[in-house]
Amino acid sequence: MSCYSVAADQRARRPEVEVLSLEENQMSFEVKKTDASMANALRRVIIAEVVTMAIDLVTFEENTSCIDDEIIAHRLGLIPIKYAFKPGKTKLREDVSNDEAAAMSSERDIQRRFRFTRDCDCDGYCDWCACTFKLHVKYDEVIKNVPEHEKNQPYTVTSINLESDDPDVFPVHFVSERERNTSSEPGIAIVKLAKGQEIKLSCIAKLGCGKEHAKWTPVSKCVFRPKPTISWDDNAVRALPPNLRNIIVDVCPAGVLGYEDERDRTSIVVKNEAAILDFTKDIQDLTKQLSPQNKPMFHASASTTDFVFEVESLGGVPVDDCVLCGLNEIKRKLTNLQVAVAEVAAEQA
Amino acid sequence: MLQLPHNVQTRWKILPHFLRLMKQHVTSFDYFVQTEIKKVAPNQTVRSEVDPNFYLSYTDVYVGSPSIEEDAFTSTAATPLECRLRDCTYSAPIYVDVKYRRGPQIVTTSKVPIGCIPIMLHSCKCVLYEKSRSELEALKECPHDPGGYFIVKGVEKVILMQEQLSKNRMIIERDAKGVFCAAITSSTHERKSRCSIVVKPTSHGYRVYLKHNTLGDDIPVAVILKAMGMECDQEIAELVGSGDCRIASIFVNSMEEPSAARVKTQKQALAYIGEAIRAKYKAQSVDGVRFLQYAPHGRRSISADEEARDVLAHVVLSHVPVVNYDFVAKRTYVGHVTKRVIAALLDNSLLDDKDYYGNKRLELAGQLLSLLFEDLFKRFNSDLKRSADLVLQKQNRTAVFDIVKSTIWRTDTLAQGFVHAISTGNWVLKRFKMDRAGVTQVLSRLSYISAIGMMTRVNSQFEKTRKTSGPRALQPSQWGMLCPADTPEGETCGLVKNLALLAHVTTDAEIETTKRSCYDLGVEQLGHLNGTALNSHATAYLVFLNGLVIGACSRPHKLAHALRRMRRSKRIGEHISVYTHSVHRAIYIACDGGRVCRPLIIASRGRSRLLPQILEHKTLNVHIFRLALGQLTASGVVEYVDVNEENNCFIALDENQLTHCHTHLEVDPATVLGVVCGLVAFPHHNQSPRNTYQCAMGKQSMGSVATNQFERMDSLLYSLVYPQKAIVKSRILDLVHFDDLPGGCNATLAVMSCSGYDIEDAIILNKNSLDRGFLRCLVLKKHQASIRRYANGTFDRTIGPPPLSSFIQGIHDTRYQRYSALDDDGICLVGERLNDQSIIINREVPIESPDVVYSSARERSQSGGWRMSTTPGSPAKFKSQSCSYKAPAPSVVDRVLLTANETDQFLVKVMVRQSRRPEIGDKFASRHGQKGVCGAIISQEDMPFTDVGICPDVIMNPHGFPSRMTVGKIIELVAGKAGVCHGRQAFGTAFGESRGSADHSKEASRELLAYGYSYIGKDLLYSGTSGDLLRAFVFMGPVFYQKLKHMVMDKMHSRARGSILSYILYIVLVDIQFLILALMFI
Ligand SMILES: [Zn+2]
Repeated sequence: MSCYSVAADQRARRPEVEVLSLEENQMSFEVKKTDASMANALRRVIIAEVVTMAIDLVTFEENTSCIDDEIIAHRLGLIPIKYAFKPGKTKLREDVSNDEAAAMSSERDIQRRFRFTRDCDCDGYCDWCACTFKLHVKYDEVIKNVPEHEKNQPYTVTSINLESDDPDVFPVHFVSERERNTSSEPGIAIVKLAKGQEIKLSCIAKLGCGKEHAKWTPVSKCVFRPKPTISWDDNAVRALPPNLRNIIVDVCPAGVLGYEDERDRTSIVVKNEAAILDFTKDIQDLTKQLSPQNKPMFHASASTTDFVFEVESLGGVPVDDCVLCGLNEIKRKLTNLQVAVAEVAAEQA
Repeated sequence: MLQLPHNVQTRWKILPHFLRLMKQHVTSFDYFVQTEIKKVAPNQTVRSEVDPNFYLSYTDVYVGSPSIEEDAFTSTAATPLECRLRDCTYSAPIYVDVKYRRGPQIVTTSKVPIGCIPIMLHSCKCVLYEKSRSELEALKECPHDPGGYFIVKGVEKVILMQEQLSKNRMIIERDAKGVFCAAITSSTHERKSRCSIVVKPTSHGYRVYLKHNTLGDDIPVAVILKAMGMECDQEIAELVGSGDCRIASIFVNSMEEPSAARVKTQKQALAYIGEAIRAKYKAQSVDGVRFLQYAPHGRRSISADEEARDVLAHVVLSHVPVVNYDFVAKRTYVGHVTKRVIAALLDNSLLDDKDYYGNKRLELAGQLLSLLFEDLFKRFNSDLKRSADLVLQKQNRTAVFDIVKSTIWRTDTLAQGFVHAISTGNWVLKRFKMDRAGVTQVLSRLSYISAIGMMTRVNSQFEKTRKTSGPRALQPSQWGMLCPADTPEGETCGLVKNLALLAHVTTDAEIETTKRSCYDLGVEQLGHLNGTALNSHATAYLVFLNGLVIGACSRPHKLAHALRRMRRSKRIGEHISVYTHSVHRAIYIACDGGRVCRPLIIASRGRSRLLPQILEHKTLNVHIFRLALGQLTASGVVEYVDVNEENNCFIALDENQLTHCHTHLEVDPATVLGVVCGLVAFPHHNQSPRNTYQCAMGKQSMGSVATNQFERMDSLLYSLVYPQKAIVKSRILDLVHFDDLPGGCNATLAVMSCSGYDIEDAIILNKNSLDRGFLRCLVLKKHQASIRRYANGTFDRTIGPPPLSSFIQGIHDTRYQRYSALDDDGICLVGERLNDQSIIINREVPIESPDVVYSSARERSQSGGWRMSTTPGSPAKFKSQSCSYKAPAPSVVDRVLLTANETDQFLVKVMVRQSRRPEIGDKFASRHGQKGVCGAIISQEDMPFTDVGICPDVIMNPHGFPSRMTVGKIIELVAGKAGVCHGRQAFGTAFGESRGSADHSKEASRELLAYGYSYIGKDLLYSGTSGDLLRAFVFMGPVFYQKLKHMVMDKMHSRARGSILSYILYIVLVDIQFLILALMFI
């Protein structure tokens, strides 16, 4: 059936990705030769469908703190959990089929190690679908190790107090393993304890995705913007008196427009591409007024094919893995669609 | 730009020192327990009709410190929280010093308790009085709690301020028939009566009469004046009409009447009046109604004219004191009133306005309690007398009769009287013809603001059904005294009001010293003056003190000036008001209680007395700075001015407007509003009804109730899990420490149309925000059961769950599952989950068997529950009377309290907790009267986003703006956005832009530009569903959002049994908006 067939080869796009910057938790990349729907699909999938781990079930044994059980449970759930694959040491799932493995981005993928609890044939939970954390803090005991001047203050229980029973899974720390003893990273606050108070609980972290609950979302920020195409009528700008050029630069907030050469001050360039679309109309109106021919000297329009992504990870999943998992997720969905389409086609034939 | 004096910027700094918010209740109560209570007792003596030698008199009355009487012998010191938890009354004993006759001797005993009186929190008798923050915390009290309420049987009760027409003042008005009359309500400790002087149009022209209930027919004023000893017609004419010949020409008609009635002398006049009284008495006794109005000697053997003289002296216009039948003061008064009525007839603009706030008095807790105490104390004494008579009648008594130590000394009359009155709110005092309901109300603890708002509430006595708009309308004289925004909608609109921020209600001040000062300052006493001297002299003014003529003076302005100077230097009371009235040609001095007044900065010669140095003691330490500010009234910088005196003031709003004519300067224009209205950011930019709506909604918003909210056992407590400080706050919010007990959350609001589920003010919420705890709330409900002990020796008991073996289906039996939360002692365990029908307290009560008397030993049973041991062979039979949980959604047991109250009832209180995330149909509101239900919850990936990654929490339809005109909300958003960028809380105090207490929208826009945002607060958004750029800029930024108490969960009711019609579940939805939404989603 021709109506289901893929478009002809010469019209097929060949999207490209260019990584602009990559840090531990932040990443910026450009997707070229695609369209807004594709870019948006990637964004949506990263937010809602990348599989991560988060605390999902909390069993309280003792809670004499001033915060109620369900609030503590909620706070625990929002702590990002990191899964770190250690080659050779981490035992991976053996039941992963080749197709499944191929759909995963790498060996680091959490799904190579854990199953969804709903897919697992265990009763309740097991090592293959969950990870257990324990938290036991007794104010009167921990206060002994606190410096004298802080003795009268409440003790803050943080994510550092959470003890994992799986060496590869732990709450996010923003300091590396090596710095851990020397740095004073406070961790993520869970509850404050006062004299005589105690908290003892165990938590079970499970796999999930952002669609179910925001705690499974791996990113704090995942946005894209179309890359603007900018053009200046350089000759017209150069023809303006310097004070009018200054007016043009000042029409936008500081740092959006600037001179190509600070000493020369003849040609204006866009310094902040991200913000320029907000002010295009202002610049155009102004330059049109200033122009003797009543013609704007500036044109900027959003590209329909190129997009700049900015992604910031919460630390649970490395930021590049977030993107890769997202891409894989799209691929999986498309494959499913292809299979379904083929099935329908076969039925109709 | 205009150069502002530096002072203007910092004038708000003195606000905290004049914030007498909620203090008016406390001041009033303090005055009652310290001063007023002592005035009641010395007049009381108990004598016996049997033994003429016996007597008991009171020398002193005073109030002790709060305590709880555990039983007849022990009492322990009480703290407010203990009383709340134990359902006790927070009260203190009243002690008296007595002198009485015991047998042959006269004994004086001191500190004899006569009963208990509920103590107002934070009053001088309260344990919380002048406690520091840490001391209050040690007592488990919230340091921000306003106080001013009572705890009666564990319930917090407020005696609302009652607004009334002032007593003992004349009001010139047109009555129902359109006749001009002066209505005077006289009220003294003995009696209350109404009298009016009317100008009746008759066939002989206008004639003036005096009307009074006792006097039967209307009596011509000339006759009254003659009866008061003014026999000479010329004197009468001079008294009334010598000043203005037009008045004289009207009054001349009335002058003919005495001679027509053949009244020439005082005796004839009195006889004339006496006949009228007798005629009236006869007419009434024919009707069978007992004539109770006046019976001076019981036996009526006195002549008619003597009776008339007594009536004139003590009943008619009884508030004007007449000593030894010296009628000078009363004559002058009647003459003045007559003159005023005739003048009003000639010039209608001289009619008084009943709604003018200077004619109103606020009755506070102290005054109401004082009336109640007097009544109860008299009842106590008459009971005592009756019982003493009975005892003394017995001839052969074994012991000497000691009244104080005998059983007839019953202390419960007073205690129960007070408790009953406060807990029901019914003030029924026959002695004062008082029968009021709804005087007290339960203190609303829905939110901190609602509790504070309640303490400033003023209730007026008008019937709610009246359609008239007069009393409901906002009066110009309410400026600065009552909040123009804070009034409920609907039937009580305009009748229930709230005090403005700095308004204060006065208490009674010493009359004698004030009067003395007046005479010292040259007021001539009445006896020396005749009518001509009073009226025709151009500068002669009558001097009134609390509505009574005390004399006249020839240099009124000098007198007023001198009195004001004395007030400023605190030589007379600081709340005394001096008001000169050039048309009435009178000076009105008032020192009575219940007047509303407010502080103003004194200005003289065009300069404010609040010098910049006073505000900027930077070099001095903080303590001295506070001291200096606290003494502003004593040092003549600030003074309290009441509504009447404001008429003599010329008040500048700002320092740069001051001229030589000005007498005062406003402290801060934001103080025209009340506390609750202080919640609104930029209220001066909003359409006024929106502020009114917000005042109603601020009281329903959730947040923190008090810092001790989880120690308290309120029957219903709403609390936000993550309350936030408002990003745009105001000076007023700072004054009430709203940042410590906030009532909402800062939401990122996008004003745009989205999804169609946002029609009719519905809002759209971001699901991921809700996942992260946005506007999540806790609902705690109290369940309570008392374990009683009965007269026949039986007890209630609590008992653990029945054994599992007694259920056929075992653990899956639904009847067994009802017991799942129970412990062995029959009370639920903390932390257990309660489903619908779960049993919280498994109480069993004995089945009545009155013939059997059981031994009354309570012991711990083997299963752990409390039960009584019964006499062997007669086991008590019990039936279950358990307390169970009934709600569609499960809850968790939060706390269990086992305690006993004063009457030794064993109490079990269980708090049950539910945490709720916002759901469709819940009601939210910004602080600008913009309420709306949640129409849809959309996940983050579908929400629009900016290119920096901001995603709104709330989306609101832009159609909410044009018709509502809530510009304040727009400015709040812009100012808040600038504040967020800069990392500070923005300010939005009313009228604060030019005074440094509100951000300029212009400045905020400039700041936004500097941080790279658009100056109008709009952002470029991308569609979350398609990824396309939205084709309009969207107004987006932080706005403080409140979650209101109306939640779908509470409005969902269904019945378990009964006929079921098709698939429709009958859901009772209260709000029509819920109905619309429900239809959309079913
Ligand atoms: Zn498993």
